[in-house]
Amino acid sequence: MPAQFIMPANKLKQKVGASSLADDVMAMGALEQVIERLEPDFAHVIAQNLEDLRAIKSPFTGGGLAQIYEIAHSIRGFAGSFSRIELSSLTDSLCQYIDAAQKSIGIDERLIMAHINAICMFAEVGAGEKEAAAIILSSLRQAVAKKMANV
Amino acid sequence: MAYQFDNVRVLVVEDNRHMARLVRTLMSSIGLRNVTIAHDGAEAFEALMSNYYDLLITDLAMEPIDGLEMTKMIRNSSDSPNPTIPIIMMTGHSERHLVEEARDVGTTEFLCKPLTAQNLYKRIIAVIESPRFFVRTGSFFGPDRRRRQGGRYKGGDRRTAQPQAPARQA
Repeated sequence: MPAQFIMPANKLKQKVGASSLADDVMAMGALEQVIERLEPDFAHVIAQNLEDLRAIKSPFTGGGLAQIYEIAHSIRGFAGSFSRIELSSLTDSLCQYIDAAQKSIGIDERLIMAHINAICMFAEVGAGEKEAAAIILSSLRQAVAKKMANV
Repeated sequence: MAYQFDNVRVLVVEDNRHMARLVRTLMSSIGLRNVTIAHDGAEAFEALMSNYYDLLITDLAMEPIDGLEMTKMIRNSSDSPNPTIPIIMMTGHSERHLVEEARDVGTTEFLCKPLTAQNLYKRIIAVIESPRFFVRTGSFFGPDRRRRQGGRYKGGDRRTAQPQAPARQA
């Protein structure tokens, strides 16, 4: 079948009209302010997530692993938007490890708990400990890589 | 003159209620107040069946129907009410390899998390100002996947050039 090219009517453009660069800059500024205003809500959500994480006694009982993954996934998506890159990266590492571990290498509870402890610690100390977070993240990623290399 | 978003309807597909709220709030702050939230691909497809939307912003990882499967349905299903709707897919920062898959099911734009104000607004502008041709082949329907215009490549055109002799084996 030869490729057909179609240009659909740009209804969105027809509806919204035009914008100037100055207006775009203003709109982006407004968005940044919204994110700043939402920071207390973000802190509340993270606190709730941490409480839920701490309540999980073990990844191996009561659907613990699925809950851990869900909470980490939630923090990962949310934290970066509020410039908490260290939290986003730590939860990303945990999600990646759980994904990989479930597929092939089996779960090491210590590695899961090490991630959770790091997430809880950096969530509580705030965004000011980026260097320490980077060191811990690097250690965790190395530990995950080592586990995966031993398969 | 700023964009007039008053009559624009947006469907946001996000299973995480906090992210959904964040996206809705961000939209609202730039005037996109007509936002509907669906929590997975199936719910979104139903919403599309019952209402017209101008733009769809979706997360990738959802259950039971994720953003990829939903995009396939929207682009290819015979009962899809709006197969050419612009789709902005939000992907996690470790899921870059999924971008190719998302492109191949017909995603219009990608928005890598973390979701920032600037990234979101830029993708919306791209959808408004730089619409892409849709391509239909035997196995694909969606926005043209070639984003780069040529110019740097100096060699011949493989599809039109004469066949060359196979390289000699060492």
